[in-house]
Amino acid sequence: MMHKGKDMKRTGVYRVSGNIGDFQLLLKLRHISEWLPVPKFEYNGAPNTAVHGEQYPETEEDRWSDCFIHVPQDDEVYGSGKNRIGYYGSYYSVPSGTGSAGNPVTSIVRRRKSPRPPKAIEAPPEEQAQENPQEEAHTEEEDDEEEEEEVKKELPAIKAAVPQQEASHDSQEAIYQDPQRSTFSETGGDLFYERNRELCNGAMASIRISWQQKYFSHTELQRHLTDPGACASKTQKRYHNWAVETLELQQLHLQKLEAQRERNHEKEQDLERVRVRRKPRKTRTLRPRPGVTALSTMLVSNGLSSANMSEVSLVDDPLFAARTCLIHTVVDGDSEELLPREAHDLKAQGYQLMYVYADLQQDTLLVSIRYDPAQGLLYVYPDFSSSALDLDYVVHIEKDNDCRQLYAYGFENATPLEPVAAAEDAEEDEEESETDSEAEDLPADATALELLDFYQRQRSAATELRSLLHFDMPPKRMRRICLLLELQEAQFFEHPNIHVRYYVQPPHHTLWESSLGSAMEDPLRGSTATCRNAGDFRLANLGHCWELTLLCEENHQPNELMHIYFEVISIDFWQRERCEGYAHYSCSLISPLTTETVTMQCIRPLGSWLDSLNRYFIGGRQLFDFVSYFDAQNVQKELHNRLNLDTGKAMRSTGYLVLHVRKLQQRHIEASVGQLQLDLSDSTSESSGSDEDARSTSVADTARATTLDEVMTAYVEARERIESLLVKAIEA
Amino acid sequence: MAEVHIIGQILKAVDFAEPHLYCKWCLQSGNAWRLVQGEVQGQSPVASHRLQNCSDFVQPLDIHLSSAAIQGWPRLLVEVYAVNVLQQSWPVGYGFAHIPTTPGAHRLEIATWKVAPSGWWQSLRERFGGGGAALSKTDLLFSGVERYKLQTLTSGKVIVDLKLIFRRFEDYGVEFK
Repeated sequence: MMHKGKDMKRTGVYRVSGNIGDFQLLLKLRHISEWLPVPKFEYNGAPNTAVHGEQYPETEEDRWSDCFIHVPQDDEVYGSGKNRIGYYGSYYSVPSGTGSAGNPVTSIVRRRKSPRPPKAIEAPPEEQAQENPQEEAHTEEEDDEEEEEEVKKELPAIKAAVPQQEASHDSQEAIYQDPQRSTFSETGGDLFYERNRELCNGAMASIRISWQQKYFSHTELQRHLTDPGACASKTQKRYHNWAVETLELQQLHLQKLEAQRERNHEKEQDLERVRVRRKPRKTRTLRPRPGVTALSTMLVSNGLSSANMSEVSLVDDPLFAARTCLIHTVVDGDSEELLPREAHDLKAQGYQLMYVYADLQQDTLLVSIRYDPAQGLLYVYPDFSSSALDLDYVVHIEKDNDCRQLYAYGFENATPLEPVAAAEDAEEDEEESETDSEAEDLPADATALELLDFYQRQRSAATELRSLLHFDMPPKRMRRICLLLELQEAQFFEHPNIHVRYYVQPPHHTLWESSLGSAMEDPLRGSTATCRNAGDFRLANLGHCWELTLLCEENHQPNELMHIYFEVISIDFWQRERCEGYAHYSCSLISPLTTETVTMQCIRPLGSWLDSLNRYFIGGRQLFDFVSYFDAQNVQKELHNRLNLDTGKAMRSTGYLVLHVRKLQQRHIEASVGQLQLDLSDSTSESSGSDEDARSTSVADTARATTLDEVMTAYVEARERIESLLVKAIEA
Repeated sequence: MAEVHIIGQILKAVDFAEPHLYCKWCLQSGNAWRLVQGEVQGQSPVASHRLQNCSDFVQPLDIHLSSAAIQGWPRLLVEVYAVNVLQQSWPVGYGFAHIPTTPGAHRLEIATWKVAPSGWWQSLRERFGGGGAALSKTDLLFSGVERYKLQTLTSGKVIVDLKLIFRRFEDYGVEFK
């Protein structure tokens, strides 16, 4: 079974056709089984059947009472697809009131606290009541105990492994008072059990994760619970608010549990009185009927028939994974320390990353997702299941004490699909849709998690609407240079049918910024179209435009130039290529351009007479290092030595090229909230002289505030880093 | 959001071999640009000149754009078509140019080219019967992959007069130099 699960792991690659922000993931996780420390097969003596051993043969459970191991060995028991849930469902029995986290199958395993004669089991209750009216009261008492036992059998089947002698009446009463008590092995850790009662009781954790949605781990929750102070970044403040909300959720749940315990306790006390008063009628009301579930039987037996189902169900919160911090995510906005090792390289390649972890006594990576915005591809490892309920993937957790836990999980793409026609209609009726979205209200009995999801959806929708209002700024301490280049025309070359190839060499410490809307694959090199029958004495209209966006440092030196090299090539009707000339253009990125139109004279090596003959008859392009030639700071000065009589280094002029260069620069200015509000107010009101004055002052204020913000941001980042290091050191 | 006003006209086409011409034009920009007001594409009437080798289009432009980035700076794409007496039309010039990055008045001379005929039969047909090769997709105008394999012929020029107004670019640290 395990190997089968491993083999199914592969990376799924999907093309995202819409907004990646709409992407949602539905993940389900549950505990399957555990391997306790293997018994050493020491014979502990005969089972404790000394009292009734001669009269009653030992039952099946008695025989295996000291064996804690329940390991499925065959794949057949799992089946395939959705049938797997049949196995999982029969393994644990969780009440049907658990919603999606519960199992459709409930198995009731009868186990008697005290042995009773076989005839009491075989004989119908009615006949037994008729035959032994004297023993009716005693039978009723035993029936009560039976029904209580049925309730307790809803706990995991591992419970059967508890030695029978430990199941005394007192301990069972304690279990009864605490309906969430589990028989999950204590070797897994008390802390883990306290945190994940629902999971340990066999419930299925179900969580819906949106793209780049943050869920906290316990460590992060503790870290973000502390007030980050006024100098915190926006992300820190947001994380702090979420952490506080999560903590409130946990406290609410604890209060609810406490109230439930108190209510059960009161009912227990009432039950003692009711038992005495209603004793004669109990036989008819408490008679087990076919089709009555264990839970309802428990309600009837306890006199809680009017109680709400959710109040007594073992797992009353199907969405417990977020509250208990069982599943947490690591997103792009988190610090580098939290991300895996390969994340740094992936982020450098432009990927957006997201990792989903589960805190199963140790942080376990469940899903890793990366999104390539340039190509619109989504890489999911492991791949989506056809249904999250399939629980395709398994996780082994093995601790030092040989106790192994087996978990299974599955996840599916839960992105809400919108039909195309509906999307078009939505565009047409934009205002109506806005009013509809505003009118969308939560039901009055919405849970806290639904409230959180609702407001989180509203926040993300508002952010998406506002995203267009934010001007794209260069990164901090960077400057964006946008060059608009146009090769316009060429003339006076030796042969017609020319085209121009160009190579751009940006200065050091600059980054080329690709733009998604651009059709140019690589603006750093390319070629124009071939101008047939033009380029000699006839003018060749090249008409080639391209755009180049570079990022350079704020303290970029103006003497670091950008070089563009041009090579003019002619191709005749025999497909012979000849070099017609070389040209070079260099400019400073941050200095203003003196002129927009540049006429560049082209030159090529003169060569010897043999080269001329070779060029005329055979053609071909000479290997000429024009990059070194145009490098004015080259150490080989003989190339530029005009007094050298060596004809091998002589050049001759050919035609000319006309180049248009336009340049834009953008510096980083932190857009403060006040400025944004000012912009919004400007867009609604007419521009006036006072507005212009106010804007200029706001720009000055913003420039001054940028420095302070940068200092504060650096301080906060350093503090976060130190905190994370301290936490790691403590954990180690 | 910064704003750009493009006001002007496509003045004329000069140095074309064909006498009767009209011009299709469109303004292309990046994803961060939005049209606020005006038309970003249009077509001029057929024009010719009795004495000079030019066609006066005088096609007015009045476009208001808003921008959220300086990437994808707008560029003007022109396609010049010729019309013969049989009311057949075929493209005789493709060209495009970036909108200047400094405010004020500008005169653009967009050098155009057309697709060369692939053989002598097409050359004859183009010379006598009219018609010529056209680009099936205008993406070929911008793609730079082995572009030298595209054989073109030099055509005339399209003269465009523009007056540009830029608003609120300085709020976002944009300098036009």
